[in-house]
Amino acid sequence: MTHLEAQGVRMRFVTYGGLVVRRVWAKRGTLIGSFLGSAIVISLFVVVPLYEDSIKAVDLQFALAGAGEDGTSMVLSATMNDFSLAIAAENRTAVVENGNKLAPWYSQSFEWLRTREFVVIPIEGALMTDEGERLGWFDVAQRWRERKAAFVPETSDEQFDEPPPYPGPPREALQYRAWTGTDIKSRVQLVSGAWPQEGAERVVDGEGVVLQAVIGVDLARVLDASIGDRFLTRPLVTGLAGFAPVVVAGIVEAVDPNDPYWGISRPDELMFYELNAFESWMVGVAVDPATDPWERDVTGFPGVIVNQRFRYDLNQDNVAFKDIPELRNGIAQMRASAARESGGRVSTDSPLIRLLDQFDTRSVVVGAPIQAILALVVGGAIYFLVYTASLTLEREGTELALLRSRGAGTWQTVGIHIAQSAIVTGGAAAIAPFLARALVAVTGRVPPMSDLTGGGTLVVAEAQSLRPFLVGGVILAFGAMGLAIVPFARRSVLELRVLASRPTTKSIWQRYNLDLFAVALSLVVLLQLRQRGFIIFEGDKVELDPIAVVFPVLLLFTGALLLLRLLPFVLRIVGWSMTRSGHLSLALPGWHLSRNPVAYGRLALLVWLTSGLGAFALTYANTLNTSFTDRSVFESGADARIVADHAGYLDLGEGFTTTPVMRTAGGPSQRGRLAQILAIDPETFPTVTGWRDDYSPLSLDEVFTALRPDKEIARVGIGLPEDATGLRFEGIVQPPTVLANLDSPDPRESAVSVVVKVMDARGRLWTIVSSEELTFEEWRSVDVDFSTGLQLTSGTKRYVDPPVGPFELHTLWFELGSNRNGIRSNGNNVYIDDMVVTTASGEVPLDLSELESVNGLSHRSNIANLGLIQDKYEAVPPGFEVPAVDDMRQDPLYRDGTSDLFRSPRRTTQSTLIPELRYRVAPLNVLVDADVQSSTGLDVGSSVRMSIGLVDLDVIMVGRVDLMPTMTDNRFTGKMVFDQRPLVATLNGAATWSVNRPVAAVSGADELWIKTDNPDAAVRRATAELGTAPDEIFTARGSAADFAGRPVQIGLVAILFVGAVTSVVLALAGVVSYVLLAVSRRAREMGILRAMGFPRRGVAMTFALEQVVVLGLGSVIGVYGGVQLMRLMVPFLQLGETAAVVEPTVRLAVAVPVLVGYVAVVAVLLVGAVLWATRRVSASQMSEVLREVER
Amino acid sequence: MTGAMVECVDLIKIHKQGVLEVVALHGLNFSMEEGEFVSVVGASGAGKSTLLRVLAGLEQPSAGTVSVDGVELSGIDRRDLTNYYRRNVGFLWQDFHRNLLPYLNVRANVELPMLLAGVGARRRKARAMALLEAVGLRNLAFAKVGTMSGGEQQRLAMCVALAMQPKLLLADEPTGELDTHTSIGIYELLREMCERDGLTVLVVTHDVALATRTDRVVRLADGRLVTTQGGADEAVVQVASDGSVQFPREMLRAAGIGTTTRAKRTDDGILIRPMDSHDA
Repeated sequence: MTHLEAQGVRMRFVTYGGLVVRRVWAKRGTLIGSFLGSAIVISLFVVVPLYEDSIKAVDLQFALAGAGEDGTSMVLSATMNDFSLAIAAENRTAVVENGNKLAPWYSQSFEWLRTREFVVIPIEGALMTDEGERLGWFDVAQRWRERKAAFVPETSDEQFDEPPPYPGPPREALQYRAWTGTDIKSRVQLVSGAWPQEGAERVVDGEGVVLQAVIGVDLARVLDASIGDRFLTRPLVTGLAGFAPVVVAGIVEAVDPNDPYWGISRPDELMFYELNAFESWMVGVAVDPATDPWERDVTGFPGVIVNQRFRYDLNQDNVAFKDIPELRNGIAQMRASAARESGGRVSTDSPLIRLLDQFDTRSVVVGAPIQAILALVVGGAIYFLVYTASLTLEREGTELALLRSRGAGTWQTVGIHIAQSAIVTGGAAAIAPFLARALVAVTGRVPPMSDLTGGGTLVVAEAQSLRPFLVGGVILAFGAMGLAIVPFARRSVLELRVLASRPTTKSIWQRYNLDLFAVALSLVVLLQLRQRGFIIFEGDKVELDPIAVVFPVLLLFTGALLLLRLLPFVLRIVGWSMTRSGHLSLALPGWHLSRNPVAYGRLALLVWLTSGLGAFALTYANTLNTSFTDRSVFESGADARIVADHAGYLDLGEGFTTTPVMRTAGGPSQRGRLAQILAIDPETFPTVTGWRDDYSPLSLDEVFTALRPDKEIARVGIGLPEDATGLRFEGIVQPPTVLANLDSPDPRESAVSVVVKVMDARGRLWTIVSSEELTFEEWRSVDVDFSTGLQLTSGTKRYVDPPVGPFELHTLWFELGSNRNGIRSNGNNVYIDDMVVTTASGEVPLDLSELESVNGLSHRSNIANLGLIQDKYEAVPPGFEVPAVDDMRQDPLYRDGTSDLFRSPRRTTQSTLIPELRYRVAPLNVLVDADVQSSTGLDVGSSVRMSIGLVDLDVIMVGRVDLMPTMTDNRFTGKMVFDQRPLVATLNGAATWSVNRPVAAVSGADELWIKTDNPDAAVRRATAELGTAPDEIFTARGSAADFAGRPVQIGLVAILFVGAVTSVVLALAGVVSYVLLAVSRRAREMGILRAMGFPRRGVAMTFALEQVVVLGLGSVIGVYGGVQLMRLMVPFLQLGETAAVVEPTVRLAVAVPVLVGYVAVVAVLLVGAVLWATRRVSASQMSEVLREVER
Repeated sequence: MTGAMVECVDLIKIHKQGVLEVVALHGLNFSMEEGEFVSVVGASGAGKSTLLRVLAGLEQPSAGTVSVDGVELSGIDRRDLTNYYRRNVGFLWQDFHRNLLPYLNVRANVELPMLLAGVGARRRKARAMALLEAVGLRNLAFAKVGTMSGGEQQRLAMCVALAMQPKLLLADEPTGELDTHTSIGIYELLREMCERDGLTVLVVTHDVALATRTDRVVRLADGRLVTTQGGADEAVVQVASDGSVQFPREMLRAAGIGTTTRAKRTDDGILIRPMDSHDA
């Protein structure tokens, strides 16, 4: 190529460039839509990594903040049994040098050295000689030395083989640890005494080498040690000779006992050394055997296990999201290098790595929907781009025809258009990163994300390169816009001219039925995904199935194609029906709709996408929100839940609806699988708990009513009158026989208390003991006062309110007095007469016949009281004359009439069961879930034997419950729900010796579920009632905050709203573009109509009606499509932060009023845009109209 | 006249409209010599525009042969067709908006075909200015198209069509939207180019008066050639409502008729003669 030719080529390019630039400038009005679309498509591509990173960054900050210092710090430790300062220094070098590489994220906060446990051995009075003399260890050693010295080998065939009397730890030895550190003197402060002078840590006196030590104040207190006191100390794990005498040189206390420096150690119970003293004693000190009481050549603690620990604290403010890979690598390298360079001694523990692993899992699981949704938004934006590009091309048909007729080749036509697209795309690409950053930043202001960002913009994190996404977006935008020319460029001049006036009616998709193929493909993918799930688990790694991310887009695409085929039919029918109207403003749009339904179909599709994305976003947000609420209520059970001993029985008073709940575990006998059990009050539970109708096939009322058919409370004992206050009876213990009485038995030895278990009206089981003991000395009137229940409780396992009647008597048994050797009754016969129930209005006879004998306590009624006297004479000394019956009646213990006789069996060593009388509770009704049902083979109405705790009981299945709030403990298999009252009676109704546990301590409802608008007040009230803070507090609001606090999920909602707003903007731009094009095409038509007297308003009305039909159709289908798309997205949400399926599962929640509002707003915006776009023809003067007609 | 510039032999063109087939050209035989200025007249649907589109290469003939300047248009491939557009034929649409790119100025519009054909900038500029000079638009070289009158736009369109110096210019009712005076001006310009540059021009028109300003008027009816009338020997003229008749200037000149003439009714019709001639 010659210079001139080259110059010519360059000039041609310049001229082409000029042509293209002029073209772009001339079409700027219509190209703005393409530019906007391109910018948004590219931006959204860039938003994907930016948003993901930014949200993760926020999540990371929250995760780090939530983990606290301990959760993020790095601890390196070396455990040595060959400790020396040199080794410690080697470890330090290995740690510090590698630690420096992690600056500025990590900074070393401290280093310390600590031993394993030592025991303190008192020196004085350690051993008792045969003479009853108590000797100290030094004395013992001295005597041993003396014996050894006195031993003359020549006088004996044996060697002196008596081992040195090394001090051994006493049984109740006090344990402590030795501690040092480079800055130990600044960590503790002297209370008394002084640190040993440097070099004088050891003193040598008659007791050998004595170590000077500084001890903590608490250790000093329990040792009762003061300055100068001595004791022996020995490591638990060294050889026998490893011990040393210690003298207290100083007493210290920690400057800050809560300083993380101390970890779980209690500093005031430690013994402290300076670093050098620590080394000298842990390594061992050479001594002259002559000066050592035990003739050792080494004293100290060689071989003691020493732990050296370095802690590095994370500077959370310096951790940026993009640093994570480097930080992770750094920690891994530190772990490896520190281990290698320390000879394998130093190991690294970094909870941060576990935190990051969890963070990664969460990011994948919870981030999946973000990617899927962003893909959706990108898909929608691409459609918009293609749509506006095709509009532009249709408009350019005439020009393309002209170019072709002027000799433009295919590639020249393509080239000009592609260059134009390149300019538009280039411009869009230039602003896209900024737009993307702005989009990401603005999500920080979108509620609920604004709660996390404090209302500010989201800090944009950029951990991964944006370039691939930018390039991807540019390629896609450019392809969607630029490549659309290719089929046009190959068309003939006439075809292009025809195209300009009559757009194509069939897309390439329909021509080759590719849309139907896409539908089939979507169905196949959907089936695949349903079978294999959306998340791939490979070992510990959790990955998102890429198909799952693409699937929503595929579905959107397929739906769009299908609608492109269907919408023209629908619009044609609608248009045709409009033409039936006699009104021109209605008929005209009808004609247009039925004549050119394809173009309107595309517009409707755009609106479909907009309203679809909006409906999807709103439904997504609502579903997510509802799920959070469901999950939080499910986790808390009710508005508030208090867990503490017997908290279920608290009475919070006015304003709170409460129900007691008992939680335990049990399962079918002989199966070894345990199910979670909740025992509830069927009457009040449904009014308090948060319930969802899919928890059980039955409704909330039905399911719990099944536990109490006909609302009848299950009987658990002999019903006592409503105003019963206790029991009263007269009784006596069978006196000893005359023979036995010769030994003058102590009446207290056989005295018995009567113990009963009664259940009060609130389902509490009370163990109540008679006010006095029965003895054999006299008939004694005894009360069992129910009001004494509270006094009998002890410890924390107690009820806080007195018993409330009416009561049911469940158990009765006898217990020997507490001051004897064993309290179990042992063959005692007890006569009880006139057992009555005391009430406010008098006494009511009590019939015990409903109680069954258990474990051998026999009960017989109507036993003649004479038997008591006759039994006295059953064993008499030889020669003793048994009185006649009449004489027996003279016995002071004799009384007329009959009594109830209770006879307990003789005590044996094998039997530990308690003889008792007990009410047999009917088999318990139970609700079970599918797991229990399958493991037991239960069906409604059938029964099975269960084991709960140590109690076997028969249960009858009365219904199915698949989910129960708070029953989320995955250690158990299955769930069961009982009526609390009979279950408590069954589990705790058995007699219990008072020595085994506090008398009133029964396992009951330790949870109080509260329905309230003010959970905080409920918690305060409960705390006040309990007198102490509850063990655990759950509130629905608190749980919701925990879930919703996950920035990833919140971010999801935020981006959805941004997506919805973006889609509205795109739709507005698309509609305006279309209407402007339609107006310019139909200006002539409208001009003619105006000239013929068609009113100005009629013109606007014509366009508006057309668009209302199209937009209305698009909106309705869009809202439906959006909701359906959300239905398909629901599986994405089923996995929680730990990749486990959430309970209760996420359900689609459609917010109908919000959707209606959204559609109304979009419709107003779009119709407003239409009217604005038609202003040219509708508002122009008649002269302009006539000029339009002329043109 | 140096040979057949356009040669149509047994030309048939069938349009398909749904299931219907409409025969637009029905075995048309037609030829044009180089430098000839021919007009095609006929009723609507006679096949005038179809003939023009076939000659322009916009449509392929259904049967028969068409050649223009030796280029056989039946079965021509895409690349040759593009070259044909560039080198052999210029086209004037009736709607002058469609002949011009509105975002280019006057000179750039004229240069466009040359740019597409790869002509160097200097030659493009020179040619464009020469063409504009020829049509009297030189002083508007940098004007916007939208600011020009209809006649100016059509003259500019002619410049664009002739930019690549085609041998054949096809014009589909080029004066359809112009007034009579402007239309005559356009025709005179075409005549001048035929005579000066040897351009061959085929014009489709409904205006018989204008048609008489061409060398030859071809009448089509139902896709067939009905009559061909030579410009100086025979003409079809229109009788106005006031009884006035306008003859082709060539015919009047050849007959030696000046500003006045003598008319005499005969058995065959009306005979007009020069004022100084004697009765036969």
